[in-house]
Amino acid sequence: MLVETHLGRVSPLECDHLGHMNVQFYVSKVSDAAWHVMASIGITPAFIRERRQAPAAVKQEIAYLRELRAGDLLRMDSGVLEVSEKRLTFYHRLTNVETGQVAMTSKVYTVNMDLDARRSTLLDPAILARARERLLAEGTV
Amino acid sequence: MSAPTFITGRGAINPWECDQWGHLNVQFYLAKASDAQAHLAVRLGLPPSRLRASGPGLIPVADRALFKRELRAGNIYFIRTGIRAVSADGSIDIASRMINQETGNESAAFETRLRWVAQDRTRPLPWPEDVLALAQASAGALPELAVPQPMAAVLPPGQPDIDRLLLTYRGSVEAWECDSAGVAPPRAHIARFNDAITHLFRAMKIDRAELFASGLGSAALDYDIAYHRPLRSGTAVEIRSGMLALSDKVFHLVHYVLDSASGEVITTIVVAALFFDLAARKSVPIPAAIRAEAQRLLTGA
Repeated sequence: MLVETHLGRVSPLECDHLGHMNVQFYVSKVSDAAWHVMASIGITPAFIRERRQAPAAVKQEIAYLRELRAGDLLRMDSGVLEVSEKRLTFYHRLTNVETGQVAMTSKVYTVNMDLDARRSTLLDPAILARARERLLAEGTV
Repeated sequence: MSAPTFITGRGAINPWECDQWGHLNVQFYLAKASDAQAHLAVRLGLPPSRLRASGPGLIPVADRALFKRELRAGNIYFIRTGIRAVSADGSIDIASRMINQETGNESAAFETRLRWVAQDRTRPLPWPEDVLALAQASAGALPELAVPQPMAAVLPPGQPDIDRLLLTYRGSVEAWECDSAGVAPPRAHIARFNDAITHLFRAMKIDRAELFASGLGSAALDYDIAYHRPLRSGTAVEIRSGMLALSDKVFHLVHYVLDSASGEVITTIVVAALFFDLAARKSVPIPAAIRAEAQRLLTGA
């Protein structure tokens, strides 16, 4: 299931001398969207604070499909692509709101991390179950 | 009949947007509200491509921002916006609410007056007919977005007596703060007010580090802002500030952003603010020593 995870705008500050949004800010928007897609499977800000665990990115794949310019309006939709006992893979799709064109897709591979031990740890069973329920259908990506 | 509302923003709060008091700094609330307005503009037939191609532009001329609950690093939020009214004078009034998506609590309320202006970003123009029709079709009562009480009438009418106000900021407007037309957005105004308050505190003999060490922080509750003129790249600006009113917990002050060369007022903001306990995250009465200094400023003004 895809959920809306970001709704924003390209700032002039995010654009480089080629006149478009610099690659680092695509990743920045994926990072912001991640907190929303995690919340959608129960890894909410309160869960992270109280349980002291959260997914940490270990690998990312990005396809830059369209350039984005200052003032362009953006929407990110995200979902869970794969899940196992310690691992979650999230999918993110960034769309230019005005044109409807997909500007970027990204897969972020994560390992669940214990924020005190700074080591991998098992996903909470309820989170695991929720992620499995909401896995993206084949063909979504 | 109720007018529709639209989701116009969604995001997360990052530590680099938070200030020394551990919460989202005021300038970023306004930055997120500005982005949300751009999403509403699409509903009015003003997508980025049309705005880029157009000489005229869409600007805020007044903003009311009420800060109701803190947002802290790690929080997630969304913004909902609706159109309250389209006025005969050519303004469109919109309302936005920033909601903590996890708790459902309203974190901030924004009431913004928009105008369509010429390329000089000053001279009002009639709205394009299609935009006006779309705005009128979507305007009306917004029961989900209750109209806030007006701010206390603490600002004396008429022109400010600048010489009796404190100089609390001096700087310049830089290109990287501005849009492609060279005009700075609301965030740039708010960032300067944020700097000015530290200077006003200094005049009140408040050392921010000492305040922090005593377990107290300060927070804005309510902003009433009038944007009189565009804040343009390259302008030398200063802020003059004064204390307007004091109560047990809340104090009101005013900042004027001035063009240093011409002396013209670019922006006026009336602020209601308070002190709070950093551990309990609850407001406290204004400490006696600070109250005495604030009273001195009040009398001086």
